Amino acid sequence: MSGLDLVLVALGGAAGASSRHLVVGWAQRALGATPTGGTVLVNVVGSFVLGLVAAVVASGGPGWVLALVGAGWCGAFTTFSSHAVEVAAALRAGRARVAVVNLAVSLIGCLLVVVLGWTLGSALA
Amino acid sequence: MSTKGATPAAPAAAPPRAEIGAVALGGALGSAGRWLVSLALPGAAGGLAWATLVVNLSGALAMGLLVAWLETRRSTHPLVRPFATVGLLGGWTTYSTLVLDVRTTLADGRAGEALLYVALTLALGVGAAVAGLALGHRWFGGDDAHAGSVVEEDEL
Repeated sequence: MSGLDLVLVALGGAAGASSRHLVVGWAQRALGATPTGGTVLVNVVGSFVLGLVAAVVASGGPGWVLALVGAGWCGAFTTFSSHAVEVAAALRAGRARVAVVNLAVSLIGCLLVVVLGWTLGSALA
Repeated sequence: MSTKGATPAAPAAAPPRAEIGAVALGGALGSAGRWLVSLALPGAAGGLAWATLVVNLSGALAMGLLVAWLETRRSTHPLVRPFATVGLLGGWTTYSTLVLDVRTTLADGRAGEALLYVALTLALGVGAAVAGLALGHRWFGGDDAHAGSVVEEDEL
């Protein structure tokens, strides 16, 4: 099963990374979002979806969904590396307030929606 | 300066389809690698998710180095940046798994452990990215004054 899971994760990861690229570009063009704003947006959306999917699978849903959509799509749609470098660059530029706000908004926002997604997923399943 | 993600503006725009393909390939490889790390480092029963910590810290360090390197290169192939930063490192690291693990740990009534895990990830992750940018600028000869160019002028 783990060989098939690896393929599912890779497929989901390809779709997740592409989706992030498109959504961040769209947020910048259509919403006037900054790249950091785009990163926060994808992290919040992806965290919500993972909460939902993890709860559905934990309630007896098919396990392959967790590999394809959870570890694959959500894992790649959200990103820690861009977030960390955006915070680091703000710190190095002397913009500590931007760095702290980015850290706090990302963590609190993503935690709230993963709980929301989990609650919704548990109720639906 | 218009930037995408934590990267400097690309010197030349790649065709959209090729760019998406490069991001998808990087995302597939990065995600598969993250999955293999999670198999190699299964969390102790009910313990901290070391695999997620490992990919996120290594990815933050690599992204810092890569961004610093890209800032000094005006003539990289236009597909290098989307493949490596958006795809490979974006797929290798994850924020959603981090908060799902925190939710699970909190739901188990282990708030102290959840706090420790978050503090370790954020402090060491930002530290790794700072180190990556600083080392990259030293090694690749980038202008340190451009360190802020990946961060936009607006607040978020």
